[in-house]
Amino acid sequence: MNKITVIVFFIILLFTSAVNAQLEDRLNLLDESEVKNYARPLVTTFTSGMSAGAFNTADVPRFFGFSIGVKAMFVFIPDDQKSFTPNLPEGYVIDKDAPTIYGQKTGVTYLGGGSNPPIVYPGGITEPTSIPIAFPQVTLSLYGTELLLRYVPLTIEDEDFTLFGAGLKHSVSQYIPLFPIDVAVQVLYNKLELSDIVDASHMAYGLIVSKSFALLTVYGGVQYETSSFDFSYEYTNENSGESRDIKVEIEGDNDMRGVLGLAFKLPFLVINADYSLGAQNVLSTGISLQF
Amino acid sequence: MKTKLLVITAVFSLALSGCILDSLETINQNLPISREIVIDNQPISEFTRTFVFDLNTSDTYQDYENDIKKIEYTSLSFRTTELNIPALEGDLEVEVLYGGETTVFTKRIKPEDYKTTPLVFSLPAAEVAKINEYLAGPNGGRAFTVNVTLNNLTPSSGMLTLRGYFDAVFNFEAEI
Repeated sequence: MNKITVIVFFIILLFTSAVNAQLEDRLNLLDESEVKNYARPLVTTFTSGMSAGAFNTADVPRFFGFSIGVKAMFVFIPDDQKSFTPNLPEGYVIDKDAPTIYGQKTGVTYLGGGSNPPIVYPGGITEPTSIPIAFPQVTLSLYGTELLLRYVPLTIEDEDFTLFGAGLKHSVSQYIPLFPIDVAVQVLYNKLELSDIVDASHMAYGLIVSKSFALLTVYGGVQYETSSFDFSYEYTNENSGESRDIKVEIEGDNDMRGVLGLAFKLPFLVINADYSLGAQNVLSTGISLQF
Repeated sequence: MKTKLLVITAVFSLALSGCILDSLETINQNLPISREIVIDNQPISEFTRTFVFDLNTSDTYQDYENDIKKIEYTSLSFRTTELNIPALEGDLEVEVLYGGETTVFTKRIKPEDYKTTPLVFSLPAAEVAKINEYLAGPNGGRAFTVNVTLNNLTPSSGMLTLRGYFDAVFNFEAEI
């Protein structure tokens, strides 16, 4: 792995470790019901990012194929996922929305009458238009079936980050002689663990089609994607000072995704880009060495 | 070709991650501090109570004290938790003393109303600026003395039990 690639991976890890520190400070203010509203867009981003970059063609080598490369993508965050209406007990004045993890950095406070003390909601970590994600990817093909692998294990300052992904793509069109386009089906699984605070898993099921024209391949597909994040953190009631451990499971807003892209294939090198529409849209690019 | 493409990827990620990493280095959080005011079964007259909002008494403030880059005033409000005379009305004067400055709120109130909705004290922008100037800097002030006066009460006789809270909210930005 050359020096530049190491720099790219280090930057990704820095972002993840910093998010971990920020996430714990913010989740500490929220109880179970509200942490779902606050963090759901992040779960959706994870799902959207993990679903993207999984294919750039429906053509699977009949005998043997191998590729290694990097996938990079922007996950676009819509404005309606940057805030939410809080679930507050009776007696509070809800005069503004609360930021999600992607909302304004300034937190908000809700005031109540009577015995209702102020309730503090945390600000967002950042207010992005898009979130960049990148990871390495390896594929191995045998007899019309492709195995996809993603694996990033890192430890920095006692913080453990692990991304593991595996997928299977199978050519359907290989059974239909002279079929004009390539058709394949794919199932994809990803798992992400971030120290002892996040344990996430993702599944995607896809139908892929593609057509090659000399060096250019046009590809597209539809995917059904689901994900689940388990957050574990300590919740502290700001007014009573009482703390308790909370473990909450959050599902992303993801459902169906449609993908359309182009791949440029040189001998031993493939460059691709695609755009997908889903709960959060994704612009994905990839560079891979292919044999 | 391969090296050039990897350089482009690295610069791309570096530029974007740099922007995001800047925002990840700080936390912005609201800090509420509450002080209770108690009038416990006393003959109705003029009442005066004094208390101190001291940020140093907040556990959250202590957690971030050494890393705070900015701290500002957000709001001051009052809520009633107990009142034995629902029809009680009176003139409320709240005098906030800090660093040689004084900010005064006055309002004719009916405490019964604040059992369901808080009384939020509105401050002119110039007053907010004075408070924030007091809070600013590594040696900024952290304590506010509050003198609360309730007078011209109706009914003007009887025994009064009134409990409530003054809630001050501050906003701070700290490095993490």
